[in-house]
Amino acid sequence: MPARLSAAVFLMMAVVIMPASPAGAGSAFTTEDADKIREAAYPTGKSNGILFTFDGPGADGVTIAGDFNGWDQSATEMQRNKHGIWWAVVPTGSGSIQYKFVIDGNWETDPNNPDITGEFGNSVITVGPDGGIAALPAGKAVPLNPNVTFHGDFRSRLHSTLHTDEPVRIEDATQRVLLDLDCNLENQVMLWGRLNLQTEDADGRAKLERMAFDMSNPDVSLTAFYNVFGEREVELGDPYGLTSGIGSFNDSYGRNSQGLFLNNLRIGRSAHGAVLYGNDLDSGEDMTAARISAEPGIFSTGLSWRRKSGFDAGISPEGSGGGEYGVSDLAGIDFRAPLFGRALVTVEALAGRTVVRDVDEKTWNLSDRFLLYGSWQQILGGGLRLIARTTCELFEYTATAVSGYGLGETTSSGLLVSGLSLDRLGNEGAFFDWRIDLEYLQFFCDESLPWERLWDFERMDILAVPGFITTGYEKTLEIKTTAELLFETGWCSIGFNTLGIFNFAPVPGGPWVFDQSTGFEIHRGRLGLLGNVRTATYNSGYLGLDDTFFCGYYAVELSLGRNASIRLGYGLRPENDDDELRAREAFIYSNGLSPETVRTSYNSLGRAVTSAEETLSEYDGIVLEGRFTF
Amino acid sequence: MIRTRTFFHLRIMTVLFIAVYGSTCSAGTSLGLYYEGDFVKYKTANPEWDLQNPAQKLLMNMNAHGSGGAEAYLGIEAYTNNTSRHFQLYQGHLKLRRSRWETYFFYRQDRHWVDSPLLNLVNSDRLKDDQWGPRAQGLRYDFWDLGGVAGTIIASKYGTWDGEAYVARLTRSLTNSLRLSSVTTLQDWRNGSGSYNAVASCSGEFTARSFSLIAEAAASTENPDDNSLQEGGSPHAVQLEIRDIRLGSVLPMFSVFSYGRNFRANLSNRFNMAFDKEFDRDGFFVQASWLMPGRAVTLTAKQKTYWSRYRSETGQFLEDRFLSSWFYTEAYLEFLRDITLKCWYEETRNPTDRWKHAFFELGAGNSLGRIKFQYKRKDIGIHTGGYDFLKAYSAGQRDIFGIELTTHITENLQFYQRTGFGRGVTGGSWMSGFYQLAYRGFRNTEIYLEYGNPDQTNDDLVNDGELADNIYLNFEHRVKLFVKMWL
Repeated sequence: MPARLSAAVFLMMAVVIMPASPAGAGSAFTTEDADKIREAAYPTGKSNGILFTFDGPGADGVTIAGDFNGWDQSATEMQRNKHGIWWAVVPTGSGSIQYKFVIDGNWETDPNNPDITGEFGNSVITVGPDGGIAALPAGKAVPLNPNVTFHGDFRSRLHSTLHTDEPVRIEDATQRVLLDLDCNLENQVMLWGRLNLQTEDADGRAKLERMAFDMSNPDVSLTAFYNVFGEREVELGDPYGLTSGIGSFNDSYGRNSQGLFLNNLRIGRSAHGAVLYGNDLDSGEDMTAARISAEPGIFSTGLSWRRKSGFDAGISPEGSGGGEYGVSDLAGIDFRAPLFGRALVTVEALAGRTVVRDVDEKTWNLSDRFLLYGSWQQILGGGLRLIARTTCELFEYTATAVSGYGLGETTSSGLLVSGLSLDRLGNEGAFFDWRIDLEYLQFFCDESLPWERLWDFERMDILAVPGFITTGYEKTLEIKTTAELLFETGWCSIGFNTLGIFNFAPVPGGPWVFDQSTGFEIHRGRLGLLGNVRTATYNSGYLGLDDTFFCGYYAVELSLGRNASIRLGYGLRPENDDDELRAREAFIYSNGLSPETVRTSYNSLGRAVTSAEETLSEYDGIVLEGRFTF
Repeated sequence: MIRTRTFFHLRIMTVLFIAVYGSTCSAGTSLGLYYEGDFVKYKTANPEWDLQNPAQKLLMNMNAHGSGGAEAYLGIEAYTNNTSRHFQLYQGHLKLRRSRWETYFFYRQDRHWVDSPLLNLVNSDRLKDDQWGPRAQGLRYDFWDLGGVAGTIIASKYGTWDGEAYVARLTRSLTNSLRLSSVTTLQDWRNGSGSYNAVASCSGEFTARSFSLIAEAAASTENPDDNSLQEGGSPHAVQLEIRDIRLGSVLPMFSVFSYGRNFRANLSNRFNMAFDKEFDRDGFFVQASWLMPGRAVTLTAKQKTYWSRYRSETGQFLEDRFLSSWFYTEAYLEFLRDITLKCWYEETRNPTDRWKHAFFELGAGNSLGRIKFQYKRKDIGIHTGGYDFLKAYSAGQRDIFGIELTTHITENLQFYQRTGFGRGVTGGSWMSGFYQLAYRGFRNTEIYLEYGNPDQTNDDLVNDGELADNIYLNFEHRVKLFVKMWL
């Protein structure tokens, strides 16, 4: 994990809907019960056996054959009820049971059971020891063969805005399909990819969104990656997060990068190595990084190095024109040791330099006869960072104390950071979680040193504590609080999340943010009701600027089987939201509050809130949506 | 740039590789591949034979079935020709079904069929937004037996222009012999207020033992932006029809109708200014078919007569109503040895014009193949007594001959050809042809070698407009190699 010192202070909340309990054996099933069946469904457990159903009003005769009757197609006849549903209750025994329907002499798989196995394509169920069906997880992958599996997520949306001067009509219709392919080519070789199919009007765009090719054995692993993120994100594992910035991050596509990652290279008994070569597809910037780590005894230590190179303004200093070819090197050493059993102390030292070759042309007229011409210039920057971090787990809390010192190009420029955070150990589904963070920043520079030089200094990542944005204040004291409340029963989940950031420098009454979200999901039978409401207030404090933001989303959901649903929702967000969002981010940014911090906090909400947020962020008005996960 | 392009191809190849790899298996998710290669050489001035627009298309079709009647279909297309290439979601749908209803979220598919018994208020061609395949997307919801009512609701958005269409149809059977229905349509396009066309209709169908009586009445909105509307014109349409009558071997049918001058239904062809323009008509239609006893002979006669003010040739409404009529008679005979004979005569009259056409077709076939001869005389009498400048929009009387032949050369090799000739009274002659060798010797592959342009004769040979009406038609020298493969 990269070092996170003064920002990204939030608690994760997960509104987790508990998985459905395995369907236990129910009451004895009778002919009277069968007449109430109006639609065929996945097999269900009854006290007298497993109930199989088949929707075939036009069939003349249906039987069922399987492991339980020796695949005798005439042994178990199904009965037809008044709605044209064929049914049979069959004592099957427990374990994996394969079966097929025989419809007018033709062998057919169960259309309501996506689980198919064997060379004959038999339907299969798993019966528990209590005679009930072991429920399938939603979105279970359907194997095409032992080496290839597909997962699909299909969402079809019709969206209508509610303008007062127009009738309700389809504003836009969109389809989005995420198709995940897993190819287990050999036990140690995996090819994984995600195809993103999205439509805009009548144009369907197919994009290979992410892909990774993994080879691994006990001595080494090699990954060729394209746009990976999340669990597959490539990182050296260093505390400074030297490789965390490869490729610009996009919520939809991950990091827009590609490259090769050699990891888990075993060196001797207790040392490991990693080498990464990556390319940022947006900027063209290249990154080369390496790390050696060792765990002699109870200690662990590591040596890391990273080089960025390319024609990227992120490397070149402010005011030097941009577009110059630059090289940025960082090297660090870190040391971790357990302290008093439950505490862990980490010491990191990071040093680096930036070299930018400026091809700006310069001429000097020395005299009428002599002209001095210069066409190359090198700008150097450098710095050093030292951070000590102690993490201690006590009872149900985690306490972290951080102290850091960054040194710029000159001894008179740098940053002093001190922080303390107390975090209640959160569990998924916990009723109440909270975290409080206290930070003190002192930013200093020589009066003669222009501000731009300090920005150079930061871009070298010497002071790049994630989430920290320099404000220009000499001293800043900031308090961040995050609290989450979660109420959950078998059919209802309500989550509440609040974030407050208060800045007390240079004088009390500095900028502050207060943001809260409430999400809920209520399910009864096939019907569900879900929603999310969010209000946020941003205040620049003594500058007198403020902004309040409100949005919400509500939906009714009809569940169809385990992995399909129809949702009718209503979303509300301010008009010209994109402009407002940008203005708001700029406002927060300029007032010392990182938009990353705020946004991450939004996304940290649990399932109910997050799922609502997703639609919320895209639409206002009415949304009719069909969903199917396969 | 090079890196990006290279990666584009890598992506394509990866997906195709995975598709092929996966398609060899069978499961609840089924996968199919279809490949089409199209290589055409045209005869031009310079170079004499030019390979123009070679195109290749690879389709991956995926069907996934879930519990509760859920189904997803995805068609993913990789296409390339000499000017462009793309990789896209070609079409798809998400189907959700229960015992009493079914919903399709569809994308670039034609799922717009709705029954309007007499007035044909919904034509799916006006909804599917066809441009090399349907471009519309939206929702179709069908339900049956909800409180005795069945129906269809369609909300569809056009793909190539900014507009939507909505259709709702409800049906209820009151008794075994009486059924009531209604159709409501709304077409909306986004160019300001009043930019829509709405139609509502109701219909009843009464079925007795010896006949069926059907009536349908409809009304449309009068769009202020539509400058074809006439002051005082009626926006209503009504039609009554008696059918399914059997008088011995004669099957008669009778229909009366009154279509208002301002009745517009943009989702139909019939009452649409851009197509058939059948508004402003009061008249009747009769038809009788005679099935000759003991013979495979059918004689049919149809007559439509109506009064109108609208001249479709000029697009103007006249002061006074005039009488128009259309007459059609056909004889169809089947003989032993798969020999068929069909001939018809058609005449359209109004106070100033009289258009006559005649058609004759003789066909025969056996296990080796099938042959068909066609002859048509079109615009009989036009310009025959000298050039009539009042009918300059017609090419004049012309004779069109056609021959179509299918031959099985071997079990796997088939030859097919269509050849058409035209000769006009104003002078000149023209021809078109299409010749094809098809090889089907592989299990999942077909190979075609073609010569000529198939589009000039594909609409029933001599009845195809390109051959029948274009007296300047040139034979197109084109050689095409066409390969289809599927899994």
